[in-house]
Amino acid sequence: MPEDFIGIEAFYKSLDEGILLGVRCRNGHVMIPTKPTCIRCNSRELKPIKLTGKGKLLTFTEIFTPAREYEKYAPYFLGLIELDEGCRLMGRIVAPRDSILRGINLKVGSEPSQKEGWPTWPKIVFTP
Amino acid sequence: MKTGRTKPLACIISAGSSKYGKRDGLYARELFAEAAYEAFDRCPNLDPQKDIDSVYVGQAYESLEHQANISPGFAASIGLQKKPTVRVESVSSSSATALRHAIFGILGGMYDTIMIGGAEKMTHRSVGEAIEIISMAADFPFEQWQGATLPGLCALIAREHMRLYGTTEEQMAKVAVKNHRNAVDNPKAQFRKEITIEEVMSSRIVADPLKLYDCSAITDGASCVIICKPEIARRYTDNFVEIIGTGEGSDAEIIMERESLTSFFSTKKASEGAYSTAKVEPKDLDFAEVHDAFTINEIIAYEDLGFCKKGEGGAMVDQGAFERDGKLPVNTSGGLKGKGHPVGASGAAQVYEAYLQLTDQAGKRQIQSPQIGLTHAMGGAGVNVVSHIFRRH
Repeated sequence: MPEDFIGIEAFYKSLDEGILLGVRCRNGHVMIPTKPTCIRCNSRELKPIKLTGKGKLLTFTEIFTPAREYEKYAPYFLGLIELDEGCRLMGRIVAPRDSILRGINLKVGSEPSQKEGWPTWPKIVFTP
Repeated sequence: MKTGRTKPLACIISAGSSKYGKRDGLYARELFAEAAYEAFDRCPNLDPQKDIDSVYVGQAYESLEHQANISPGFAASIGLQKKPTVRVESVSSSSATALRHAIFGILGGMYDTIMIGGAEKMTHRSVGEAIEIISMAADFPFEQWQGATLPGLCALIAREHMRLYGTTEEQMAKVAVKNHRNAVDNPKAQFRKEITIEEVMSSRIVADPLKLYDCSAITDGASCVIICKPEIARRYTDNFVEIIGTGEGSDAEIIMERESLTSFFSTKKASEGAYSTAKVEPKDLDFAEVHDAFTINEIIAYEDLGFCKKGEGGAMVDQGAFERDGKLPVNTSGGLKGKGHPVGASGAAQVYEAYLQLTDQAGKRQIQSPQIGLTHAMGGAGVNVVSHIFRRH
C-alpha cells in the first residue's frame, strides 16, 4: 500500500481527532475509504482529502431492537446522509425527534467508543 | 408446455425438509438429518452412500453454534462421512448459492449426483445475541458499528420506497398476511396461524416503518434437495423436476454505495441470468418463491423480477395478484415470513417448495398443475441474489 494510504483504520483515527477524511481517485470520484479501490471506476490511485462533514438526510429509521452494543441508546435514529461532496455516510442521528425529516442539514461528528479492545473506532453521530 | 424444451441443466430427484420452528434440544446437524432422511425416504431407488458424490451445505452464521467447518459433520450425520463436502456462505442465499455451484459441478462433468442442503440453529440464542449475529450480514465498519441492524437497513430502504412510489405500511402488512395464510397449509411451517392487517399494524416497531410482523422470525430448521445429471434421473424416479435456469448477481455490499436504494441490481442480474438460461419470461411462470425476510423485500422482488412495473408492487398487493388464487402465486410455502427463516436453509427451502409444487406433492397448498416456477434467494439487504427456474418433467 502507498505511504499516504487511507483505509478504515486511518479514517476512524482521523474522525476521532475531529477530521472527516475521504479519498479522491485519479478520475475525481470522492468516496469514504471503505475499500482501497474506487467504487465508481475501480481506480486504485486514491488520494486523501478533507471532507466538509456537512450533508443532507436521505433516509432514516428509528431502531427499537438493536444489537447488544446499541442497547444503551435504544430507541435511536439511524440515518443515511449525502455529504456535500456527493458521497454518503451512515450514522446515528442525535436531534429533536420532530426535526428529523428527509432533506434536513446534518453535520458529522463522533463519539469515542466505550468498548474494550478491538475495534477502537468511534461512533459516527449526525447532529443539526 | 409453454416454452420450447430447453435442455435441463440438472434434475431434482428428491427433496426434504425438517419441521421449522423452535426446535429445542436439536442442533443444525440433527435438523439437517431430519431433512435428509425425508429426501432419502422419498427416493428408495437412491443408495445415498453409493450414489451421492458430494454434499454442498449452506449455513450462514458459524457464531450461532460456535462451529466452523460445519459441512463434514453435516455429511457424517446423514451417513455420508468421508464424502467431499463444502460449506457455502452468502447468508440468506447460502443454500441457493450451494445449488448453483452444485449445478456447475454436474455441468462440468465432475459429479453425477449431489446433495444440497442448508441448516441453521438459532433459537437457543437470546434475541439480543440473535440480532447481533444476524446483523453480521451488514458491513461491520460502516453499518453494524454505526448502529445498523439488518431490519434497520431494510427500514431505510422501505422508507425510500414509500416516498418514491407511495407504497404504504398497509401494503407491506398485506404481504405478511398473505404469507401467513399460505403457511397455515404447510405442515412444516413455523407459524400456522392467520394474522390480520390490524395485528401487523399494531405489532411493536422493530425499525420504523417495519414492525414485528413485517420481519421474519428466528427459526431452527433445515431443508435439502438431491440433484443429478439429466441423463440419469430416470434411474432414480419418474417423478423428478428439471432445473432449467440459473442466475446470480451482486449489488454494492454497503448500502450507502448503491446507485439505487429501492431496486436491487443483484435481483435484476440474477433473474436476467435465470430467465435467459431457461428461455422463459416472467409471464411464463406459474408460481414463485421470493425472499421476504422483511415484507418490503417481497414488494421490491415483484418489481425487480419483472412481475410488475417499478413502483407498482404495492398496488399489485392491493389487487391480490400474488395470492395463492391470484395471477401469480408467490410464496405458497408461507415464505420466510410464515414458514420461518433458518437463514442458511431458506434457499433450499424455496427449492423444496418448487419441487413439491411441480411434482403435485404440496398437499392442501398445491396449485393446479404448475409447469414452471422460479426461486429468488437474497443474502443481506439486496447484496447477493441467486435465482433458479424449474420445470415439471
